[in-house]
Amino acid sequence: MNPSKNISLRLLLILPFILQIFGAVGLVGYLSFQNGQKAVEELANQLMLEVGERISERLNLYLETPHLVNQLNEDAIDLGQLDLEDLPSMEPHFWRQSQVFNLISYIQFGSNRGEFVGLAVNDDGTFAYQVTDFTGALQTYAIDEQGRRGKFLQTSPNFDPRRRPWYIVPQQADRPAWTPIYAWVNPPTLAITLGQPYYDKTGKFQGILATDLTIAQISDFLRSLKIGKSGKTFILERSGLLIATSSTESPFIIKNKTPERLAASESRDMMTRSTFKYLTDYFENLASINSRQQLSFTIAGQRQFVQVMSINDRRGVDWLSVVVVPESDFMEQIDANTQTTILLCLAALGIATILGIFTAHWITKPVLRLSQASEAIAAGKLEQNVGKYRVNEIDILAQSFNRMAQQLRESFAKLAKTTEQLEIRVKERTAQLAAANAEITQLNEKLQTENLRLGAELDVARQIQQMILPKPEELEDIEGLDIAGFMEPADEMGGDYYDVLQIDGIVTLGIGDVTGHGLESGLLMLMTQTAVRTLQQIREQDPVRFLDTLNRTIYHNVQRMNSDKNLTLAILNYSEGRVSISGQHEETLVVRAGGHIERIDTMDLGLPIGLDDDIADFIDHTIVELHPGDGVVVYTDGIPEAFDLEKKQYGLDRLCKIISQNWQHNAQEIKQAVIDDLRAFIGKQKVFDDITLVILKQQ
Amino acid sequence: MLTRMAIEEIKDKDYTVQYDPESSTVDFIGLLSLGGTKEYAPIADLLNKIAASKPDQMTLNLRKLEFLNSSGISMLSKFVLGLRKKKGIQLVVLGSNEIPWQGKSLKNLQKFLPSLKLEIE
Repeated sequence: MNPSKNISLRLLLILPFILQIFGAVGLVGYLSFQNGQKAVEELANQLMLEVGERISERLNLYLETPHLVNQLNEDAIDLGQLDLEDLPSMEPHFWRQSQVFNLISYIQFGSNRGEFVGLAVNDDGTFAYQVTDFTGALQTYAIDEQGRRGKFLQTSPNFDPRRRPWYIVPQQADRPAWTPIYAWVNPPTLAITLGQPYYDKTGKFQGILATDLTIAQISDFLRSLKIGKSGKTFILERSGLLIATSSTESPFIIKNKTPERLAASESRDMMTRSTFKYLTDYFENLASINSRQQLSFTIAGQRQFVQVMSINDRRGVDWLSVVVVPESDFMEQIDANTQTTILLCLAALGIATILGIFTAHWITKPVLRLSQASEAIAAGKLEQNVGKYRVNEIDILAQSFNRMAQQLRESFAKLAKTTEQLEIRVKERTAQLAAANAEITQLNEKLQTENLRLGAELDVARQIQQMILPKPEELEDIEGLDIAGFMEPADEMGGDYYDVLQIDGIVTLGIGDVTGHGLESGLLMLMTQTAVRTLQQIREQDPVRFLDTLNRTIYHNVQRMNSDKNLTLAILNYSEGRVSISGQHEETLVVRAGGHIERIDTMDLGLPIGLDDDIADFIDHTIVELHPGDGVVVYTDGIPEAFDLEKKQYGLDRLCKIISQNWQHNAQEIKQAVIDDLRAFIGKQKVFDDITLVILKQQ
Repeated sequence: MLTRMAIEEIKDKDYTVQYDPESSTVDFIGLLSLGGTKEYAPIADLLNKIAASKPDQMTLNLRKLEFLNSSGISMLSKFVLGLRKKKGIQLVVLGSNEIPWQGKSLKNLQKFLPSLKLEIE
């Protein structure tokens, strides 16, 4: 895994957070701005609408006033209050009207006969009467404060009202009608006159009643309107000529001391000019504008709201009122608002970002700590505790982690302890094994020593056994008897004994079998031999006393030796052809000269020696007579009880048979024949017991 | 005794010595030619243990013991001699005439312990 390709948790938490905040703040800002724009537009339009309405109202009021005056004068004529035959009589009436209707600048009547009477309202606030005389000259008089004709001021000859536009237009229209706008020379101003034909009761046309309206007053009114901060309004004819404007310039220019109408396109006011240009561009023909239109355009990058509406009074006035307001007038506040919004958004963004980073840090810190701790645990450092956290879920995670770490530690500790215990146990076992091994080694050594000792003992015993055997020459020295003895110790067993002693013509033959083997057996044999020789030397002839004494001697010695050994023993005493047999042993074979064998059971002649203290009662003896060529054969159980390979015993019968067959030979040959036959029988079988054989043949 | 002693057995390749507590009989089977007193000790211990429990009658069945060497006879003789001091145990020895060593050796046992009942068939 490449860590650089992974996204850090902190970045993952912070980035979307900040992006969202950016998005939300941006959207809010944008919508706020859009709303501001829309609000500005609505506000501007509302303002323009109101201004337009006020202009319409005011203009209607202006334009209605002349009509009202004309109507009043017509009524007065009809009622006979004014006399068409005496025009100067109308003067006070006109004056009174001028006092009431201050918007008008001239009230007049021109008769179809060319007579004229009128009241002029001068710019300086004074009034003047103008009346034609009989010559047709127009006489101008001042007017005093009571409306009476004052001093004569001037006269203008050849004045015919019937040539004036205010007379011609309504006469031709045959109804009330406005003159076109015309310029006054003195004072220089623009004016417009509403004329109304007058018919008498007979329906005969009598002349034109007319009232003037100065247009300068409209401009004054327009200037009085507050349209935003720098909004402008102006009124113009569909021809493009200005009628009134809220700008400082006048709607006409003086050329050669004569006022001349000013076209909007010629205005010195840039805004007026631009607006007019936009309108003419937009509508192509101003005449086509019928309804109110609200539009917007730009001047030098600045957005302008513009409203144009027609003003029409059905008497010939057909004007356009234009209101134009720069967006900047409203935008100042909106811009300030927008700026505030942006600042607030930035502040919110900053705070949210900081909060986001803080929150992310708050969340990621424990996660980071946890991940580091996990890594540490994975690396084997189990002593990890991530502490407490105030975020519930994180805290649960942290506490779970702590518990798991604790459990891990405990498990590891337990494992370590177990391992330790195991090691201790292994050590203990090893120690025990070592001890046992040492013991075994020791025992082994002991055994070896024992074996050596036993071996040595056996050797000693064997040597004793061999040493105390009668020498062949001893046997040869015995007169009248042919004696052959044989003894072969077994590998392990042994304890056979035989001896042939001679004193005073008495030959004592002892044969025995000591149980067991080793030193004890050897000693027992030696003791037995000594005791027998002792008893023989003291010439003990009583078999019972002989064996009883011998038994007691051996028994007590065996008791002292703390031994459990004993022996069978037969004692044969030969003297002058008579053999006395006593002691319990194998059957004694008495062989007659022809080879016939008599088996003498010795079971009732004694008991084993060394077993019991007193065996006197069980000792007996039997006497056998020997003739020349007769003999006696004694042996130990090693011969009849020898096994062949099939565990068959050699047996006494076979022994008797081989002795019988060879009895014609001398003792040595007979002995050899028996041994050869026995060896042939045993074959490769182990020899379990000592083999002893003694042949005694009387010559 | 509520609990019956299990049949005890001392066994080797050539012989089996088996004790049946029910009949207080020890059966000797096979050929016994162990090397001396030490090797006969387990058998001697078994016999002495039985005698220690003082049964009214104790039977040694030697009829299937084809051979017993001199050490074995010595062990038996000593056991029988030991019984002289323990009155009240009727020792019965079962022997066979067909086995050569038994005819003479078993009579010795009777000499050591006159109360011994020797049944040879």
